[in-house]
Amino acid sequence: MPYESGPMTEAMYYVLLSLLRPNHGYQLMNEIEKVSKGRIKMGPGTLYGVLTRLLKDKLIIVVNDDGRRKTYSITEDGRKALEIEYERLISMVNDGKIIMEDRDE
Amino acid sequence: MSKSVKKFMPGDLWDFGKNESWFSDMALKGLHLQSIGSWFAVFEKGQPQKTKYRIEVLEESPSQEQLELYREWGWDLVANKQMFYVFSSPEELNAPELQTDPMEQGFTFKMIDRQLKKNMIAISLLFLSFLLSQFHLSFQDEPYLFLIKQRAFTLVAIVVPYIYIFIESIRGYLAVKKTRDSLLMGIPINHKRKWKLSYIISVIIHVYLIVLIALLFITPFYAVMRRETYTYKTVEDTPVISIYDIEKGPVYDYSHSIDYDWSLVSPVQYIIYEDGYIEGQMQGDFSGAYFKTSIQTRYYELALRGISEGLLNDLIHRYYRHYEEKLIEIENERFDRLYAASGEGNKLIFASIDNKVIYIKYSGKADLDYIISLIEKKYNL
Repeated sequence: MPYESGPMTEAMYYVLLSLLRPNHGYQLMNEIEKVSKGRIKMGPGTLYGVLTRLLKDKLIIVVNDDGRRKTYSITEDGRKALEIEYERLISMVNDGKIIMEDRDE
Repeated sequence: MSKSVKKFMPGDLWDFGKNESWFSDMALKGLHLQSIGSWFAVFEKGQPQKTKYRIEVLEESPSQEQLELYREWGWDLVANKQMFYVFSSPEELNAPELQTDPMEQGFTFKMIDRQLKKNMIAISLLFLSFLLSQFHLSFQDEPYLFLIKQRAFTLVAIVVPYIYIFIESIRGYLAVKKTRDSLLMGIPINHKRKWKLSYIISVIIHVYLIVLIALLFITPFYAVMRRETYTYKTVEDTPVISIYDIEKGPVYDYSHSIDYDWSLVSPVQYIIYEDGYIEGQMQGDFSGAYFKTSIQTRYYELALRGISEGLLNDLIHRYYRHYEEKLIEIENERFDRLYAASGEGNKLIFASIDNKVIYIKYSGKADLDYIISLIEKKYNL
């Protein structure tokens, strides 16, 4: 199913986020761990599954393929999708603040 | 060179959990997966080792970097077939999982799903057109007479594998859909699914299908061979009663024909016709000096005793149809069933004894009881 906004998986969100700077598979995995401050250790199976899917949905492209490794980069559509998801997550977090207010009372 | 062992694959590769645990159990016996074909997996003989296996679906063949990355995580590519890639890792390495997000893995199932759906639709259409082409068979009003022909077996031998493929394609599609749905709900694949029972069932089904298909190819040759053996037989060599048994005097102008047939269901089948003239009592106008006498016998020995009753009914249905005399059942404990119709011209006898079914159409002077007594003698009843 092509991506049409809506909730992203955690893996998809972090791959897009890490591809704001063009990157190849190996580095990308470290980058994801770094961006998530060590919280996410993505398995290579999941990583390449996400990359294949994002390529198909044209949210990322291959900018360089030297036969040994591919370098990926986010597309304009990908960036837009990421921004929409970011807004959605922000409002989710904001809406969730009532938990804290509840606790304060 | 180390030894290789070929083993039948228990199920389709998309059945990840079952295949993975099967590979692991084999490694524990010292058989390490080497390659996968369409029916068999090849294992290399070595030291028993606790090994984990994971099957991955990759749309494109993996890049060098990708394989390096897998290796860094402790997983080596061992075998590949189409879009399925099998990775292995020694258990003591405690390698982290390749798939860390069930939902994302669920998305990769979309491809298998689509392919299986295409398969299923194509096979269903073929199956449907095949059924339609054989539709007239359902209108058979003499099913047993059809069943004893070799053609019936050929049809079964084709239909059964067909039904199997049809059911398998639907089952495969539903199973993949189920796995995908549970992955999308966040439930990871169970890598230790039990495979033994389904393996045994699968082996039995395949052996059965192979035997059936082998018979399909062998039996026509066998039938021809059997038929040739019978080309030079005389009526005396066959298990039917001859016109010479019935008529007491000499038979003039004798002629006969023997048709022999063979099928798995009915390995001995004869259609025998004899006719000739016998001396009669000449009347004043010279008529009646000779009488024509003829006998036609259909004789069947069945491989399955259970269908003799059905075959007898079919023979009655087919050959009694235009006969004006009443068909009566004769009580005779030596026969399983015995029917006869006797008129001016012809006498019809339908009989079944154990796995033998006989139909006789006689026209001549001998009477019914006498012919029946001859049948009893012929078969030592």
